[in-house]
Amino acid sequence: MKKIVLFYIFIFLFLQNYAQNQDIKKILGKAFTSKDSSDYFFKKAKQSIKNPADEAEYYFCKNARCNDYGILDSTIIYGKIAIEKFKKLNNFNSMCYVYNNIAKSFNKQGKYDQAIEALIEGLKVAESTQNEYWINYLTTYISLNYHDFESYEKGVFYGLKAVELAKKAKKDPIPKLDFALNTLAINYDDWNKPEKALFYHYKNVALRTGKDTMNNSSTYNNIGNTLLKQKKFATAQKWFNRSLKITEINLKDKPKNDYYFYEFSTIYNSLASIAYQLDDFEKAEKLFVKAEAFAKNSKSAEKLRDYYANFYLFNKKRKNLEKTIDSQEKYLELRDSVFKTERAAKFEELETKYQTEKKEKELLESKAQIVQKDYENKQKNNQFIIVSILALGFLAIGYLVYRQQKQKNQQLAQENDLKLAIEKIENQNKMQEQRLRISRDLHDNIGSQLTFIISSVDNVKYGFDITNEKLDDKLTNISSFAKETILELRDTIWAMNSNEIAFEDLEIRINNFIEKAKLSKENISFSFAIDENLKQQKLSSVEGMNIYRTIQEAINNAIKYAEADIISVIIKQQANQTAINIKDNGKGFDPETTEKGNGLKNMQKRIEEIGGEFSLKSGVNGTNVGILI
Amino acid sequence: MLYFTFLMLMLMGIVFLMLVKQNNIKKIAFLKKIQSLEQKIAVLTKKLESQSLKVKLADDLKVSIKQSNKKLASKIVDANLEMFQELYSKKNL
Repeated sequence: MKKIVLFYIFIFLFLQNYAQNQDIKKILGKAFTSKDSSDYFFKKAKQSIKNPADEAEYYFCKNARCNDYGILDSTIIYGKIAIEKFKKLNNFNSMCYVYNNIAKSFNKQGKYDQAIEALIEGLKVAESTQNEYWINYLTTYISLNYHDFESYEKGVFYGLKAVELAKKAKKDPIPKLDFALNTLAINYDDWNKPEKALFYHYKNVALRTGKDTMNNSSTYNNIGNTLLKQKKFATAQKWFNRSLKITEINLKDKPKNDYYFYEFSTIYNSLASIAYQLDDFEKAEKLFVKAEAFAKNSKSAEKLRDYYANFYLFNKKRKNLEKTIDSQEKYLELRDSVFKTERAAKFEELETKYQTEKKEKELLESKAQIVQKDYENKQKNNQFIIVSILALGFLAIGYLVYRQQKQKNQQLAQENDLKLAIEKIENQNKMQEQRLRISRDLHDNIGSQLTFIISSVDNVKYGFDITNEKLDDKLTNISSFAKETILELRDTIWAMNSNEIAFEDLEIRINNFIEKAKLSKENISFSFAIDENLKQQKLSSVEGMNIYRTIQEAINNAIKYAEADIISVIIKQQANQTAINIKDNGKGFDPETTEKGNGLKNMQKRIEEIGGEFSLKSGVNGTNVGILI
Repeated sequence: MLYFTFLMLMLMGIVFLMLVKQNNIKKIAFLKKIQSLEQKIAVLTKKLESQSLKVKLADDLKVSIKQSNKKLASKIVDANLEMFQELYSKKNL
């Protein structure tokens, strides 16, 4: 609840404050526009001042109002106060406006030095804020003030500058150019350069033709003045009449405007000049009366000075000595008040000060620009270095990522190769296993068939009384052969079932074989010797089988062909190799002359197949079969 | 600007180090994987070699059995012929 009440109070106070602010603006508006109750509204506005902005606005309106009504001193005083207030508020546009009003008042008072001082101050403010309108306007107005002070050279200098500025103006260039051209032309005119003056005047007329001729009254008037100085009275009068008509129309809209009084004073003064130069003194007299009245109403010291200067010449021509002296004195008095030497010096001082300040400002600006450029260059260099470093960093990271990806791909390829190799080996393994299984089945089958043959042959032998010795031998032969084949089959199957064969296993196998051999020939002495350290030495199945077959063959040969009665098998270590010797004391043979049979060839082939060396020594004392693996 | 650059460089450094570390970890993992695969290949190769030897033995045996078969067949034919002759002579008597 409290919060709601506080909220409403806040809203109320805000609206009240807003209404009050609105009030002061409304009151100042009324004070500015009202003809009779202006003082009342200004008083009311002063009471409603709440903040420095209101105060500045108040003095600004006072200054503008006084300026409009030609209250020159008040314009200056209120203007100076308003400037101080606006300075604190940084309201530069309003400051320019007030400086202009102050300058106008000084100009009317004929205090051109102070007018130009105010204008230069205004111009500084306008230049600091790059305010195009005020830079243009104040430059032109400086030119006009130099003209009024009869310093035409400077007037032309500022006039030309103003024309250039007006040409470059982005917004509303025509009125600016009009004012600048007009001011430049009157400077040339009074500097006794009528051709140049007319050139710029006609340029101005061309600028306005077909657009807005109601603002051309001063231009027509000025053209008339130039022609008057050239004694082209008829043409001059035509231009003055044009200007007069326009000014009369304009005055109807703004009856109390000082500017039109100023214009009328100029026109009537010039027309009076034509009249007395054409010796029409009566007409001149009447025109001078009008010129004087308007000059006084315009509150322009310059106009009054021009009037007295012209009137004194008129009286001189009609030889009215008293009036000549009187008007000359007034003219000189006015001229002296306006054109004091001190003022001229002050002008110089002001001008120098302004130009020096401007140069210093330009110098400072150029220095600042150089510093700024240096800073920007340094910043650009730094930015380039930073960007380069960052780019290098990104490149390094990019390269690392690329390298990693490449490495990953290589790793994947390598892994795939290995997996493929494994798959291939596994397939080969499977295939070989299958082959081995088929072989085993086949061998089992053959074994059982051979057993059947042996059994059948033995049955035939025992079942039938075979008296035929030859037949009996053949049957015995079949049975023995089948038994040998079964043994051979068993030996191979034994080797096939073992992944590795030790010499110890070989020894047992050979002993079994020898035992069987002993049965066939009883008086044979067999010996088998092996180094203890070789007993556990492993051989592959093929190596084991080939060595076993070779030893078997050698023993068979010793029994069958050499008729040996001592056979020894010795297995020993010889250097890094294993030496196997099968010796017998049989009758032997000459290996050089005797052709090698299948048995010997097979022995040599088997040993060479397993990378061993086979040797055979035979003589009358027996045979020695050597194997070195 | 300098602060931003420093920050960016720091970030880049961290990213760079992280990438390098990640790369090393992946490399080690890959090497382990490859090692295990190579070991597997070695075992399989050994097995294959052993099987090849057995197959060779089987092939040799096959040849040997073929020869034995031939010999046995011949012996049986001889024995049969002899038996036939014996039986034939007895029949004629």
